[in-house]
Amino acid sequence: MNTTRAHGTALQRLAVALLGAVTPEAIGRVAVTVSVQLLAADAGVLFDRTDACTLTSLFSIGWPAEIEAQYRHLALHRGRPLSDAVLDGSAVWLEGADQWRARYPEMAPIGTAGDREATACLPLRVDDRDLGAIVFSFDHPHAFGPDERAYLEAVAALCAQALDRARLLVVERRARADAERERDRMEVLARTAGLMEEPLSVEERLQRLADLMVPALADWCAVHLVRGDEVEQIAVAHDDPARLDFVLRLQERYPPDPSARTGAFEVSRSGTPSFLPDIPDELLVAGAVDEEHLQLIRSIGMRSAVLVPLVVRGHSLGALTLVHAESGRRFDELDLAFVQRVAGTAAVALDNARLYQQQRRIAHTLQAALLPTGLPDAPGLRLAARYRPQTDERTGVEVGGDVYDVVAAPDGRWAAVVADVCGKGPDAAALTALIRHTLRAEVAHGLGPVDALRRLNDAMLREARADGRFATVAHARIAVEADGGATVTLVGAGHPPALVRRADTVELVPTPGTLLGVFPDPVLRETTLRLDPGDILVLYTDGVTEARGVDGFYGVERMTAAAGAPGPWTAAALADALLTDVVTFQQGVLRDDIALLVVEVAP
Amino acid sequence: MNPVPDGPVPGSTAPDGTTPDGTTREETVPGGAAVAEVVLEGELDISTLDGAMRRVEEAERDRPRLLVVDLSQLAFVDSSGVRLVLLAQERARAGGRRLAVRLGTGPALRVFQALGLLDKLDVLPPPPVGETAPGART
Repeated sequence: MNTTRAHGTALQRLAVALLGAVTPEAIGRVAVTVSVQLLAADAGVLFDRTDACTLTSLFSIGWPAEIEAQYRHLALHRGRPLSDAVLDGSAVWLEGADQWRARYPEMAPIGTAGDREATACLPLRVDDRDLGAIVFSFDHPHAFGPDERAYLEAVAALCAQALDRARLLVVERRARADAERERDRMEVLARTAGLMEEPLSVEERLQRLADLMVPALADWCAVHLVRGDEVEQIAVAHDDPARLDFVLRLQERYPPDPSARTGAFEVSRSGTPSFLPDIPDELLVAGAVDEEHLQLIRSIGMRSAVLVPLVVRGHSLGALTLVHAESGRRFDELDLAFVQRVAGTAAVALDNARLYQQQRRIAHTLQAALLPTGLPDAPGLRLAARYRPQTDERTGVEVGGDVYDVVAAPDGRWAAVVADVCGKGPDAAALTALIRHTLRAEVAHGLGPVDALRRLNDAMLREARADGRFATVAHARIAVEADGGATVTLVGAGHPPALVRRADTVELVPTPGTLLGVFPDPVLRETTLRLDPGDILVLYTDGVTEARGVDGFYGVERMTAAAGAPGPWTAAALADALLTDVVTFQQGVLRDDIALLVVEVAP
Repeated sequence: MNPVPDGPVPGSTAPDGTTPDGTTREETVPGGAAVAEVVLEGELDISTLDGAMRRVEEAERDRPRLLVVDLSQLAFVDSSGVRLVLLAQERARAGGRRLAVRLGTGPALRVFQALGLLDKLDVLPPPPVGETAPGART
């Protein structure tokens, strides 16, 4: 038979066989079994170069088991045939036992063990990459002629290429898995940050955070917060509701010890993370109250845990705990680093949310302080007032705007006022305070409504602000008459018309005048009207009429219609009805403050 | 052609340039437009206030003897727009200049009227069709 053609056919067969193998281990197996068969060798082994000084056997055939085991990992060592082949990059041909003994006396006993004689050690190289080596051994002396050497080297070259391909695949797969892991993590991180911007209570927010972590990052997640001197578990999450329920009931039965030196309580207090890639059973034992508790804890199957503090501005707000259990996954350092990033994001966002809540509380407290604490008892009249601030989610937390008041005048009349300062914020709020207190003072001095507003205007001008801020005011003096009715004297300064309800009719009473706080000489005049028992006067701010909903402006027409609904109405009921109507119209989102002051002449 | 009505206008400085407390203010107006006009469009509220104020201030830079702010084209005006006008008027008064507004017949008129500003501001009718006021029209 033509040897060249036989070699050619054999190489083709090897090439085809190698195509079917994907992993380095599979390459090793195919390369060795097929080429040993083609070469009619008695033994073969393929080594992978695992690092600069080590070869690791991927597959071997034909050697006694002890030899195989002993030489699974080889350290490269010059003066040994395989090492020389790899280090020099050229094959070492040992044609028989005497060549072994002559060239490699130390290794000869091993090399010729089991009646081996001839051995060929061929390096596996592609371009400048050292991939390992392949070794063939024969039971008889064998002269490796030039054709045969070429043939063996061709075999080695094919094996080298196949191994190279397999290694690249491994690297590529690992890189892709890492990239996907990284991308999933970035998504979790982004969603954590986004989560914190929603208007939620602290508890809801933390529960959502915990839910975000499972099952992608862990089987279990818990969040603890420091509250004063104590650390509380605020949220627990697991993808399986049955397991979650089990743990919650377990915690109810055996409440965790807040003074424990380990675990989330400690991490929350100390601000130091705890990394338990493998949770030791001793830890579970230490945390158990009794044998039954221990069994129940063990049944959860916790294997690996990461506990990181939620640290912001140098202090710890609490802790984020992640645990792997039934999935069998294990946390590594990369996971710890990532969880710390998540905790960092969560802590900052949590802090922001807290500051925002604090700000809201302050704003609401201030706002409440700007309004009268109550309405006086006015014999012959029934009074009701309603106030709603602008919905603060749209513009941040602000005070300011509308104000109302009712106070007794020395002449026996009641002085009522509704005012609207333009704009928001502390400056507007300060102006509302000025308005309320100045008018009270002027009323107490016995000034009539027009004069009182003029004095108020002067006081506002004396503030000498340069911001163009102004206020509109409706001011009424109400005298209860002997017959049970009332005489109302109204003065308006740039303010919407007053509304009067008599029986079932509603009338708008314009109160033209100049806004206050800008001009030294506002135009102001009195309008007088008579109310019978049961009649109702409504003073309001343009937060009502200028309210905007999907249907356009609320407007005077709707307000008039609402106020004209069949009665009888009491002041409080009408105030509620009007407020509800305009708030509903805006679907609960108020673009401006609303103030309503309702005066009913007792029937 | 000067669209300002004859005679003293309430709320502005007296013809001889005296301010209410009696001191005479001399104001040299370097050569610049006699009248400038700023036409505002769209909506004027807290979100668009900054942009509108910048345009007015830009027109004021040339120290026109009369600045007209045209609000008649606005689809929406609230207290922000009112403050813009009041502040511009104050600056005009302090600078010995005059400010006038066009309110049209829509939202601007409604708001300014409700606030009692019609007799406190120089309110101009819309320009006759075919005739535009001299000076910058922005």
